[in-house]
Amino acid sequence: MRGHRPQRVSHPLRIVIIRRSYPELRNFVHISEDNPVEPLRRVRLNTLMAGMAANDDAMTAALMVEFRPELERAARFHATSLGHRSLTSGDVSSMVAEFAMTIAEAAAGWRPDGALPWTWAKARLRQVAIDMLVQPAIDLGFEGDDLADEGSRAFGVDNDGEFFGTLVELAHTRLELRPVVIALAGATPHHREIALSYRMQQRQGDPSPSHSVAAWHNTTPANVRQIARRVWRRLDGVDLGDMMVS
Amino acid sequence: MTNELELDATTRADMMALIERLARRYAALGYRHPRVAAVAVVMRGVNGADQQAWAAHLGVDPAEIDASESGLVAMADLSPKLADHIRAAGLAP
Repeated sequence: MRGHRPQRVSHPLRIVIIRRSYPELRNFVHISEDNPVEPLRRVRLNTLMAGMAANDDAMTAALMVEFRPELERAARFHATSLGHRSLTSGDVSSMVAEFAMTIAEAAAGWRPDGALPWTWAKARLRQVAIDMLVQPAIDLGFEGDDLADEGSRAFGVDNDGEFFGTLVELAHTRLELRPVVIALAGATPHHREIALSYRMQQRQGDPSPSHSVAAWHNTTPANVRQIARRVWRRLDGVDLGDMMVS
Repeated sequence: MTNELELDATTRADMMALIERLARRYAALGYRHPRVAAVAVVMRGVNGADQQAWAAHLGVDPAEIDASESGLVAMADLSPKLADHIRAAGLAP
């Protein structure tokens, strides 16, 4: 399949069902990793989508098994577009499951003669990716939840470029984040990193965030405080609650 | 026909992710055994079968499949063949 080796389960029962359901394709039916038949897969996809539209959750599982490569590609596409280039296998499984369930929920509106489900549901899947990959970072960094070291690494806050990228992406739909993006965009990447790190340390309850950040960036605590103040001062006059850095 | 299906690690991880989500949904719907229902549904899905074909494959009454997928049956009370499939697939709750 175009150089892709699908990870799928071939099961005799599935082949029997397909042969029984689509006798006209009998001569084409040979399900294996080496010889997938695209027209057959498209017919099978239509069947699965119809099952999902009829609220048969088992067909969602079947979609994940039989169209895993396509769902994984969609997951990686949306993750990459949000600045998440490296996903763990667990991340991919979670995204594939969420994507499949999202497609299932919308299946009743899908037309067999239209685009493939993961293309047709692109906007929905993008929102799922944002909810899974971006929203937690925002919640952790800006909405008062506890910020664990593990969380900050997992969501890329150590990497200013990626984290800032996700903020920019999210600001397209969350207007309240635009002032934050504007404030950060006006700073150099180095200052942005210091301001973000300072904010994260505060959130974690670091009693001396400026000292911690200064040590990481080989500067002085006073300089860290000044940089953070300059960056976040751009938010003056905007009601952002506890986001303000004093 | 293969009687029991052992899943590869990727498929098992995917199915566990789906089971978690379905179980939450079924619990919210008030299922008595939401996780067993999710596992039963996913087990059938892994085999790509509708309820009739799955029941025929297992040699059980379709009503039994429906009951397990509706959260009416505890794991210990599942049909032995279905329970064997679930254990072989590594999806047992």
